[in-house]
Amino acid sequence: MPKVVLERVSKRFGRITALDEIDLTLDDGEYSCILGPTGSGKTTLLKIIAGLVEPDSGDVYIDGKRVTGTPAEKRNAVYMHQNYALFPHLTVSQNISFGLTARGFEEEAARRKASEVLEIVKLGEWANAYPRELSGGMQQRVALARCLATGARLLLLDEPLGALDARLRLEVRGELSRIAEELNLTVIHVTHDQSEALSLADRLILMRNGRIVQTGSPEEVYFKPNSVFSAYFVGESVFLEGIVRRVDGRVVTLELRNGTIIEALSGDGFNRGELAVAAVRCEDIKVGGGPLTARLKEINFLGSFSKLVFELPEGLKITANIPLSRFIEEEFRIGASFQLSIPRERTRLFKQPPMGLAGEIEAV
Amino acid sequence: MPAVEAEKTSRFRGIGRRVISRLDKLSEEKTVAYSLYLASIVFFLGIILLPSLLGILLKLDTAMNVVTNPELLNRSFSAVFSSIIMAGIVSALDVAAGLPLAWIIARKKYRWLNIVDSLVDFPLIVPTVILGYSTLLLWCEETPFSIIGFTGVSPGFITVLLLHFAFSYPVVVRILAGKLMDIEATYEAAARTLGACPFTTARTITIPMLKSGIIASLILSFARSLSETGATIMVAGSFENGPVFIKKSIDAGLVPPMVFVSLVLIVLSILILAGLRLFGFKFRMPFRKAYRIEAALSREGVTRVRDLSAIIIFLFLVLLPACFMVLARMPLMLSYGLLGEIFTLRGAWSTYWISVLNSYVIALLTTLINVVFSLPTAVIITRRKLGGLVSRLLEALSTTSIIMPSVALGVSLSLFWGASGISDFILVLLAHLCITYPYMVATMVSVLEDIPVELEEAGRTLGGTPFKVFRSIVLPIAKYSFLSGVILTFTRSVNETGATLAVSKTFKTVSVLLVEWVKSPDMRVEAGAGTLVLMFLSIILLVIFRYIYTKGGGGLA
Ligand SMILES: Nc1ncnc2c1ncn2[C@@H]1O[C@H](COP(=O)(O)OP(=O)(O)O)[C@@H](O)[C@H]1O
Ligand SMILES: [Mg+2]
Repeated sequence: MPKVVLERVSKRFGRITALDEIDLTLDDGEYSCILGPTGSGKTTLLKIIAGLVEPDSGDVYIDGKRVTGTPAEKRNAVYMHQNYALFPHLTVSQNISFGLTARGFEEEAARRKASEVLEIVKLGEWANAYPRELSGGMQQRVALARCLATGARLLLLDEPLGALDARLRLEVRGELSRIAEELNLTVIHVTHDQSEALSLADRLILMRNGRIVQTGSPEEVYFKPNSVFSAYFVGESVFLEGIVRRVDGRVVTLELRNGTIIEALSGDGFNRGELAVAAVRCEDIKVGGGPLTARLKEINFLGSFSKLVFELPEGLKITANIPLSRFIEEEFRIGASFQLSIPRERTRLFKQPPMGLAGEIEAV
Repeated sequence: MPAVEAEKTSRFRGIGRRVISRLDKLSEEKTVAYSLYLASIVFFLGIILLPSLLGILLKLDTAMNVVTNPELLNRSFSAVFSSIIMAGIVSALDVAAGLPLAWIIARKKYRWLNIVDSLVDFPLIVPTVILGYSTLLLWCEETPFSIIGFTGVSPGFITVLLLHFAFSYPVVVRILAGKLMDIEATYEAAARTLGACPFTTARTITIPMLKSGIIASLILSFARSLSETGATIMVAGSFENGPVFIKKSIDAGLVPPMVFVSLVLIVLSILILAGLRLFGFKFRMPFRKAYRIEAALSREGVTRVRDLSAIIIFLFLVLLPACFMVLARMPLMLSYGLLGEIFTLRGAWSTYWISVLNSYVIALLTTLINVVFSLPTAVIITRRKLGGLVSRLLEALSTTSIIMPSVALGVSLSLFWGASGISDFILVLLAHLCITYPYMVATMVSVLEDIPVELEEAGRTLGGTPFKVFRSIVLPIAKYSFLSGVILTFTRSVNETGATLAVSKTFKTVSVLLVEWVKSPDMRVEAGAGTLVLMFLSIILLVIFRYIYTKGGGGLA
């Protein structure tokens, strides 16, 4: 059963460190999502597991067997390329048969198996088409079918939904998790789309600059981000910089740049006078009632919820998300004054990042 | 199909399959891959590079004789200079005039253009020396254009230019057309819908994608112009470039000029070609805007004129010289009733048929061996298997044997192998390997450069061994370019004379025989007939080959 372990895996390309001492353990049958901005080393990590890139140092184990140095075709792990890499000169059926004939299937048997797999992805009648005749969504499904047909139990998907339109993405998302479940596959799915990761993952791995920032269930990462970057990259947050004015047990009082006072709960030891960053989910900010007075600057209607941008004195901006029901009931007028509150039990406090708040979230 | 036959083919298939699966297994082993790389490098160093250079390296000390003799030194430098200038002009003209024709062939709008496509290989079939003789007849001695008042030019710079253009042009068109066919027309369509006129599209999209092909073309035509000896002497008049000077000195019993001039030519051209590769790949077409003139150049009238002039250039400057010798001798041939005699296998004609057989055996072996050894070399070069430095070095050095004047190469080879007592057959084979190896490597490199690495990765991760990935993905995708590499190698081997003559006096290929006939006054008509037959044979062979290749080899999954 495929269980994947990486031990201190590093990879450099010239002066760029693509991966920096990665340690990772993924269980059998688990659906993991690697989430991270472009250039964070996700593809490199996946290719190292697939055997398409050799690490400079460190080891990879699949099923308890050390596979470092084993060529890709012998790993029983199949990598699906970002833009599918369908073979342009082969038909859909031949594309899918490729992995089978490579494994010693006779042509006839391979073709039969290919048509079975094509049924799984619902492309039965396209067996004799060439890739260029298919739409993006169909190409994606062919690429997936081609991987599934190999019978490999470990599926490495590099941004599999990246090239699809939003609607299709949702559809295929459901499909993916159904197939993974049915065939009992271990899947590592790379994405830079947080909602994809949150909805699919049993385990979420957040990467940045060649390092793993946080791993855990989607809920863990969402509710307990361990850094400003986590809070920024997963979910939507408002970040407020300030100076710690008081520490009273777990309650920390923070004075913002414009003099506004907010409170947060924190287990970490903060000291008075220290710089800190508070992070609050946009949907946790209460609009109507509360100590902060703010003016409504902007409304973004997004269907199921709306994004309201408020301005505190001295231009400090706070974004609050409110559900549709509320948006219909009440009148929100641009320019009007509102009272806001930031619930302290939902506010997470982080040490000031070394490069400042901007450095932490703009470098992305 | 009768049962016995069916059984036979299925047994045949079974064996084929077993061989393939053995190769698959083997290719999985890293040690096998690296042994293959090692073997190809050893082949390159031991069979191609060292023997080509050794004659020069052994006599290196004599080069001083040239340096200390101001007159020889002067002549040497002016010869080198002429060579480089000529090669530069020829390769530039080749690409400028070859690109439009390659385009016509690759994006065929009309069926009749298939004829042009087949005719392009035609001049490659003609032995170069025959082409030289033909050029001389056409432009100087028996020019048919006297009807329109053109009385011919005297042999010199112009005739050499015409000759070099004629023999290198087909190579360039082949490479570029192969490339263009491998580039999907979708990119062009995309650019067109984005509002770019055809000319702008070509400049900003297609030609940049074609870059590796253009560079390969420049390199091959440059090198070929530098090294050709036999035919050049025939049309040179008082013009003297490197090879002509070397040949004259050798005939006068002087070896030092060969050493010195070859050395300078090799060093200079390696530098020039390395520079071309380096800057050529870095060079980007300015992208900024679509110029107004481009729209004008894209108008139908203009493109028609362009296409027409490309075809006219090909017909008059390339195709006509290639067959003029045969045409000019045709009336005599007919009146002697020679054509009937050819198949009688009597007298001179039995020698002829043996030499044809010799040529084809040598060409076949040369092509096979070169495919086997130049592929791993091309993989090392393009995929940086042994690091960037090895790739660069290998690529730069791989052209050495075609930069060298072919006489010098021949002399060098016979010095290297001469003492070993190997048969003339092997000697000729070795010489042909040296001469065609760079063609094969250059085309393979440009093939591999254009295959997206991701397709190979996909093949590997799906469980394909390196050999399976190569045979069912890389090869079919690049089949046109691969085919042109094979054709180039094969035809070049058939029409080679200079080096063949230099390494063996007894083993006669058909080109060598035809050259002898051309030079002896009472065999000139036979020479015409022989050339004609050779052309026919080669055309038939090419057509069969192409048919098998496009029908069979391509689609194997
Ligand atoms: N073959 C390569 N050569 C040079 N640099 C590379 C190569 N592959 C990746 N990189 C670099 O390594 C870093 C990580 O790349 P990648 O793994 O593709 O990130 P991601 O998939 O997260 O976008 C990037 O800075 C990228 O430029
Ligand atoms: Mg990536």
